[in-house]
Amino acid sequence: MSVTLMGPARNRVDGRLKVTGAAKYSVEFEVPKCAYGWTVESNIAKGKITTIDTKAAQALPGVLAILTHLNTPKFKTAPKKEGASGIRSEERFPLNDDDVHYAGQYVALVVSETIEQARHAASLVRVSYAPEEPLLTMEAAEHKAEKPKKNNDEHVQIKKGDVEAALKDASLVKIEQTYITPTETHNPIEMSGTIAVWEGDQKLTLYDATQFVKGVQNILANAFGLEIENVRIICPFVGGAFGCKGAVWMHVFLAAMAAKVAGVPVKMHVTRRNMFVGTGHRTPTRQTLSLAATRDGKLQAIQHVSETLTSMVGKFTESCGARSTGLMYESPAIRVEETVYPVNVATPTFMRAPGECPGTYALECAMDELAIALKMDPVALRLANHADNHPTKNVPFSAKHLKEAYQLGADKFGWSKRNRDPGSMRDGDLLVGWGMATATYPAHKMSAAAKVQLRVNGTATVQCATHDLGTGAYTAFTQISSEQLGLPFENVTFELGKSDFPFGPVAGGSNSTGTVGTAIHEVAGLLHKALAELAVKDSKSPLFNLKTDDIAMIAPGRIGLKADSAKADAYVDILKRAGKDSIDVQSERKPPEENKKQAFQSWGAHFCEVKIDPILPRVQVTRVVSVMNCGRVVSAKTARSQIIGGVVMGIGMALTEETYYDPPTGLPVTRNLADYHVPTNADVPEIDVAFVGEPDFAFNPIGARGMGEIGITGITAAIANAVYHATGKRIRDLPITPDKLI
Amino acid sequence: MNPFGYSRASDAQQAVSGSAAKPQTKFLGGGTNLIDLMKMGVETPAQLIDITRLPFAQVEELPEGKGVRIGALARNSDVADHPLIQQRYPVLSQAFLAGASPQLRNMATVGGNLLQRTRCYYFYDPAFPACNKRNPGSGCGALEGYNRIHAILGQSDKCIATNPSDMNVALAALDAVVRVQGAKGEREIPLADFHRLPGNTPNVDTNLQPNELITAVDLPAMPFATRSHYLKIRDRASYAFAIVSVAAILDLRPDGTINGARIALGGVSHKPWRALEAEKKLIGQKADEKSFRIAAETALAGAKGYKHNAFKIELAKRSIVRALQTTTALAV
Amino acid sequence: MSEIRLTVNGAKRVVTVDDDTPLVWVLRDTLALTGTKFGCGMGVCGSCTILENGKAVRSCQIPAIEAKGRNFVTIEGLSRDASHPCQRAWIEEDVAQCGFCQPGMILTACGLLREHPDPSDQEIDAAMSDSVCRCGTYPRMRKAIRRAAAALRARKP
Repeated sequence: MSVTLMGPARNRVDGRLKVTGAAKYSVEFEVPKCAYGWTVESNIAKGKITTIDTKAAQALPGVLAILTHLNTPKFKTAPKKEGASGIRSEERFPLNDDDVHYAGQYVALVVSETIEQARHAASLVRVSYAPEEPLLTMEAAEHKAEKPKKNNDEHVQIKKGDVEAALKDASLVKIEQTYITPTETHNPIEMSGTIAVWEGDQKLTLYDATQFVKGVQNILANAFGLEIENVRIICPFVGGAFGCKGAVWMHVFLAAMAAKVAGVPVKMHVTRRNMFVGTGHRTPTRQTLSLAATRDGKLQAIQHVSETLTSMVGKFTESCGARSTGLMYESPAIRVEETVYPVNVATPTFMRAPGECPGTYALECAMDELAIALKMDPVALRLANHADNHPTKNVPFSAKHLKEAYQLGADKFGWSKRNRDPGSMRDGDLLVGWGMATATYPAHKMSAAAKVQLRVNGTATVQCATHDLGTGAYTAFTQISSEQLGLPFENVTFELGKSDFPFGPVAGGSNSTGTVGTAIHEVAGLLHKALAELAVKDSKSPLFNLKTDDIAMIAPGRIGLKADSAKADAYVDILKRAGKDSIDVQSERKPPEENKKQAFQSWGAHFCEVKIDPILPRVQVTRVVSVMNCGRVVSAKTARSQIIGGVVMGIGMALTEETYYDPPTGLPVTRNLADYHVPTNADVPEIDVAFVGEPDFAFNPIGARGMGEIGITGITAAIANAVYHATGKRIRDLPITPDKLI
Repeated sequence: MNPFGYSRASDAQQAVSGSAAKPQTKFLGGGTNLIDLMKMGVETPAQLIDITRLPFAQVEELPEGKGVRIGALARNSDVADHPLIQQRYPVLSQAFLAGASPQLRNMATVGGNLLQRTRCYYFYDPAFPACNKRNPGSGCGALEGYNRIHAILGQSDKCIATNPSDMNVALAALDAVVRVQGAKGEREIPLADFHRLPGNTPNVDTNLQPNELITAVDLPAMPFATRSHYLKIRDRASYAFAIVSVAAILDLRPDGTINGARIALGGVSHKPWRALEAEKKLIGQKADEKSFRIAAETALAGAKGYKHNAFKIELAKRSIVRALQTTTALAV
Repeated sequence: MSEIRLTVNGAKRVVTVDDDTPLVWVLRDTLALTGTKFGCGMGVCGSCTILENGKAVRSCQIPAIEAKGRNFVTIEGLSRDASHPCQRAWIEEDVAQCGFCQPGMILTACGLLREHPDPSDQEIDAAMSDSVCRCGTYPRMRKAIRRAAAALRARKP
């Protein structure tokens, strides 16, 4: 079977459910006698709770329970089991003690029969504090700064060659600039939420909006001391996540505890206000880039020093340099430094391309500044420093087609018509700017298992505890299952979003297509083997008495002798003759195979146009061309949508999004969708997406490297570079709002 | 939210007397702003009187060519689309279309829009301890805080909040008059006197007295208002409150010089800000960039910026020039 | 608590809820019509949009007591089988990603097409920009609205 770069352009299999309102998101499951939880939050950033007065709230009709640190049973912290999974961005449990570590921390929870009773009762809970001076900025937290060696398994302080010597070399052209990105918040339109239902005191079911059902299952089992199989997590649809539903956040523990204490199922919504506190954000970054290049544009040194914030209750870090400068361009000397400052702000978490997104913003702006200093075309500068090998691991990149992406992007965009001088291009009275940047995201590999049931009518159901966040996973996995099993697309149903299914990893790091696709590949092989075992024992089969090892799928719906495809048998005939209605097989979860001889990374190039009124300067993005090299594109339509989605979020990051924290209180100020400006329809132009390259079979048997995050990398730099080209003004702190261009 | 009593008024007198009968009563119109504020716990009325069934939804011509009357319960969308408004007062129609969203315009009433409260973060979110408007005497969180959307004209050291309405800016330029009914009968309040500057009592937004009900807004005849324009500057392409907005009306003589001008600014003050001195500077001048710039400098002469909003001073000047240029260029 | 009578998708319904319960909760939790979404509760995001007399309104901003006697259509009432031209166009253009904002978007588009059967791009932007999609489906939404508009025009003689 020949596999092309582009898979079929199928409509989303869940499209109909989503346009009729029939897709059931987690908090929409009907649970009888369900009560509602509503939180009370701290309005100080650091200190201790001195008193909590719940009398007025308790007296209201409908109030079933009020949880505070004074009465909440202790959560258990079981030891980490081998292979156990799950993510806790905030390491403490809620309502654990009287300590306040950040503004907006939950300090009480009201459980009531109706949602309006709960909201009103929560407003009557009176909390007093003994406040202490919070640390809120890098400057204030200087004495607590840390330079972590690793971010999980990844080295984040990198040193190669003699950067200092190159930066001192007077014959080289140099750029040194600092770039700032503010706090950004995910804001999926479905807010986080959970319904917790106990059966007795040993069985717990959670309908939870999550990117990781198996992670929630494991962590909740540990927190409540339950057998893992007695905890069920259900989440067939996720209304967007972008990273903020990857970890188990405080409201999940609270909902389960509240349901236990109140003795009824409890539904909890994280309000939009609290989505700016209780489910993470992208930490602000300050990045200083130092570049030195020869006059013909060959990089001699890149130094990337990044500083970010984390919280007092977690260790999340945003590794900007390691995930951009550490691998983007060939250079004899590379240094990456990362410093983290813990502050009294709620915990940051992964947000679409954590590290890569702000990292490529800074690096790709600096490359643009270097191109200008060298009087070189920005694409030519990037081609001159193209890395065939991973610059710090020194192994070749697999199936890297970045040069083609630059070429195709430039052609589609009409880049050759660009006048290099800033402010030189106009559309009537409007300034026109053209900018470009490189996109990149690593190919991540995790482990998964899958289960398939093939029925005698030729239909099959495939299951894995994976997730569809709007990514198109249902569609892509139906597609992969169809191909791998050898069944028509219409005959395959793919099920996900339940912890009862075989293991699926977190839907994060753009790993799902490759990881779960590989599990589907494995389970398809097991199915074919199981069918072969039936056939070789069946005297009526053309495969009777042959060796199962010599048999494989040779055509859709048929297994046969690899060496002689004339000897073959149809799946349904094998089942029929064996008198079976169906056959079930399941693959085992095993650690992913590591290929250390190659590096696996996705690439892309963004080209964009902005138009700006020179007198009243608001930036409007008017055109984007994005060409991506991500290995195989399994599902052509949903993949394109993923790239567009990344670009749209990048437009927001470049131009409008900022979660601002009030300096004395540490409370987020812009904490609703009216004040936190995500792009709307009128902010988004047509976005032309194309793919280049080939399936990356060295990476996995599906040939896919993932698609969810790369779209947002580089695009903010492309926009900032276009703004410079339009105006001659280099804005190095995002977002680029009108005030910065006046 | 805080529990409240609810009743529906069948006529204006009943609404006014019902309000006087119980403390902490609010009239409920479109509810787009009030209900939000109740959910946030900023407004906690004990009683709501639903006035949506009262007969104040018409837009009609006043007799003897005196102008147009807009009923207080007319939906923003209906006013924006009304031929009388589109033809005679295009600046008002444009302001409606620039403001809020189509859906909110379908619900929001003109009377409610007049009373729309500030979007100051420190007012809107009771988690912030300091807000003199919400809690008199508690201080102003915005003065030293995040004051990007705040006032540069007419503010006090007690409050730097802005009025968020687009409609109010156009009404200010059009010399509108607010008609209200109270226990002692009807009275008229010129729009210029309707909203207040914060002074020492920022908790009081308007000069409306307790239990007074807005019944209509009158637009006096202003034949030259056909040459008018509303310019709104915001952070994203649509769907955001104004950083700065300008309602401009020009009365041009046949030789192109200016016979009269109306300029009102939004997003810069606690009330829609009428630039009277700037208007005077324009009389008798050529309608060109030079005189517009002088007017703009005059309008912003007393402006004061803060850490995050000082840019508004220059932006407002540029916006005035641009709005006047656009208004001049209109074919009417 | 009050007993409130209202019409939803052509059916007369009676619910007993707190007076101040936003209509979005009555629809979602009392009537189990979860196609109407909750995305902010403050009239900003647009995902709770429903139709009243063909006009798009936000169900989070209507307290139950205010909904008395009124007549609403939710996404479930548009059609259950995705046969409405807007729903069909949405499927054909593969608009939805996570899908959470889409019922509101579709009903907003219905409101737009009722007033502007052949909307310009500017009219589409103006009508659709008051609802927020975080997946970034906007370009496909524009296409779907043009497609639905053509289908609706073709349907009318």
